[in-house]
Amino acid sequence: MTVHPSVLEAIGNTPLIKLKGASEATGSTILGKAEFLNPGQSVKDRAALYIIRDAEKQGLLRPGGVIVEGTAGNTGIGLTLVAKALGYRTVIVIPETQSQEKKDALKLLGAELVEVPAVPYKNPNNYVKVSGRLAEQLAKTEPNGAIWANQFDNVANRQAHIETTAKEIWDDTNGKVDGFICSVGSGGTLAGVAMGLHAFNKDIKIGIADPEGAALYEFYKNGELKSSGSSITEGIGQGRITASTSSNMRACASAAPRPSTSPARFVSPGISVPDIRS
Amino acid sequence: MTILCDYGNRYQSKLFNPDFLKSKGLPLPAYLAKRTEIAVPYETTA
Repeated sequence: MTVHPSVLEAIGNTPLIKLKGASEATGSTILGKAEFLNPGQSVKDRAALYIIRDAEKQGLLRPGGVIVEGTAGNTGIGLTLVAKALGYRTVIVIPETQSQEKKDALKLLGAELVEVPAVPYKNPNNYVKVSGRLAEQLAKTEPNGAIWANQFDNVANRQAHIETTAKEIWDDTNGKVDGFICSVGSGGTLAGVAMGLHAFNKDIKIGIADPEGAALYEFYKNGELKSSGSSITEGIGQGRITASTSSNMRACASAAPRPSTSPARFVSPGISVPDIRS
Repeated sequence: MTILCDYGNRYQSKLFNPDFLKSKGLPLPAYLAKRTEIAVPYETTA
């Protein structure tokens, strides 16, 4: 019998589900890790838990403190879920163009929403940049501390996957996993799982499923961060090397199977931020 | 002991919708009514 002392212990240990169609089509066993079964219904619960625990360890947060993030989706939900369970508040900065469903979901969990005009990443008033400045501003006034979660460049995000996701995959496949592939937004999942799995077996192949025309696809294929076209995907299709991916760059590059067939076929429904960063 | 049946989010347009609650004369939870008072640190752009 298992009784979790809080909702936080229900994060992770998600099952692997065999994808029947993909397995039959390839003649290989293709498994999907059911991250939607996390309490916040996405993979981002893991990053949220590690980011907040890391800030606590650094002494940046005390009960009643504030976590700020610029996010339009799952990261905000994960952070708010974890924050509320631990007695913190979240201030989530989102572009006002986001769907009502996302705004409602965040509000229902108890996040404080700050809606800002949707402008490109290079604009200082882009929601991610506003969230960084807002965190700095609140850190000066909040008696219990305020942090910027900064999922794109906070390596606690990646650490969650090194310590939990990768280990679970290794254990649940009895070490038989041959390869791992996912899309990249912050890069935390891909880099973390890659690093974690490589600690068990450095021959495990790692791939990136990037929308065609996205910068990382170009980077690993042709060595240049170059993007073209537009995209309807949300939260994937990163245009830069984030801190999550940077130190693992070489390992990923050498391990990544050169995507000869169009990776555009891998369109992930996972949502974290809208694709307005360029 | 009790049952946590579902996420509740499939009742968003009703039980968690301020307009619906008002139309039924039901009280509005503070967290649904609250609007942020945080000043947004915008920067002037050219």
